[in-house]
Amino acid sequence: MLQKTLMKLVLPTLSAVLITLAVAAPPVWADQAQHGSMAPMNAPAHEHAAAAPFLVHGRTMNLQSFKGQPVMLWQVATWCPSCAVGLKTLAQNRALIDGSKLKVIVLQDYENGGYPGVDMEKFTAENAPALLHDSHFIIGEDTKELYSRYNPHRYVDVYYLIEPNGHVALTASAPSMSFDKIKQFIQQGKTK
Amino acid sequence: MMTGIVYDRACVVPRALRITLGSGWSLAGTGAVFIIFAIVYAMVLPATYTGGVVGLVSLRFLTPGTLVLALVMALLLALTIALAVHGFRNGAGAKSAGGALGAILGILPSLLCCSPILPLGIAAIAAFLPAAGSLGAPIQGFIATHEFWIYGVAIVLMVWGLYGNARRILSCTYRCSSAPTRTQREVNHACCEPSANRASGQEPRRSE
Repeated sequence: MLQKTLMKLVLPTLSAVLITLAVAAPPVWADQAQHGSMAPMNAPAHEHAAAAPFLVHGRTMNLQSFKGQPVMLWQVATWCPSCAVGLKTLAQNRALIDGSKLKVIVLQDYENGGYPGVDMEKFTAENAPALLHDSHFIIGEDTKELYSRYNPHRYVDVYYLIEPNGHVALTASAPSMSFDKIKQFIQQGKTK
Repeated sequence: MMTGIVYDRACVVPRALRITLGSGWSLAGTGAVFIIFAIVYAMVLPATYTGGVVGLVSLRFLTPGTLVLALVMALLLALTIALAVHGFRNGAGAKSAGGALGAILGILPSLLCCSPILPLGIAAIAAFLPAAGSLGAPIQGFIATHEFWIYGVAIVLMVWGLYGNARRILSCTYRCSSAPTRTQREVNHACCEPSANRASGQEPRRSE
């Protein structure tokens, strides 16, 4: 009897607690996202961005070759809805980015994060086709080396804002939610 | 025969709701619960597009489809809670598993799909079980690409919870009537037994 009563009480209480947590806790993440610390476990901010290779149309490029100019290094998975929305956000703010020196490197996670999806070309064409022909944007793929160095915890949507001197100014997630930080990075004159 | 059973079962929820929402207070309470859950779901469901961020800011990403989903889930949950409360108050108890599972399943895709929760959780597990380390993103990928089906299962579970609670309430009401239907006979709840009624402070009901 007691067990039955407990079961009857425990499940609704548990669900109520979970729902409350789901509602109460996320504003904290929201705040973190606003301040760019949504993904603090990756290569720490305020450290030097290490050289790492990535692929663009099958050609190997290196992050090191962008030293001297501000870079946004963004790793995405093509099945990730927040990445698609983030790409649209960047496309909407293209004028601001094009007016700066910022180079946006959008890379597909190594092996698409371990789950199949369309390739980067198609992903970009579906969500922000204008970016395919924009010289400020580089669309490519992670190498295993870059992925393990810049995304050891395998987040599906994580980006770095790297200053011209190679310092990582910010690590964050979901550009659609934290574009104000990218805007601030551009406007702070680091990109001019 | 078959049609009769189907009709009988389809009427279970409306009949139980008519009993449960009879008073103005219960109707107002259910309405308030519906509004609260509608707001909660409207803020949680778009988290798929915000990398797990939930709050008023996520309302920016609310699509018509997500809004309908939020309203449906909130309505099912509010009605289930109304039936469960009525069941508890009348000694019928509540069938909570379906509704609770559905409610939890309904928020999981948005919170787990693209947020750091799962990778961090998996990383913690991987400290003890290294083989689990690479599972985070594939699970997120599965959730992201099967969101529609997960919400479908959540709604089915909620409907099941609603139906279960409705049957409990009706079993109490109809067991005392002269001609219980097959559906009503299938369920046999403690609410009509003298001991349960004593516990709930009611007079024992007339047996069949």
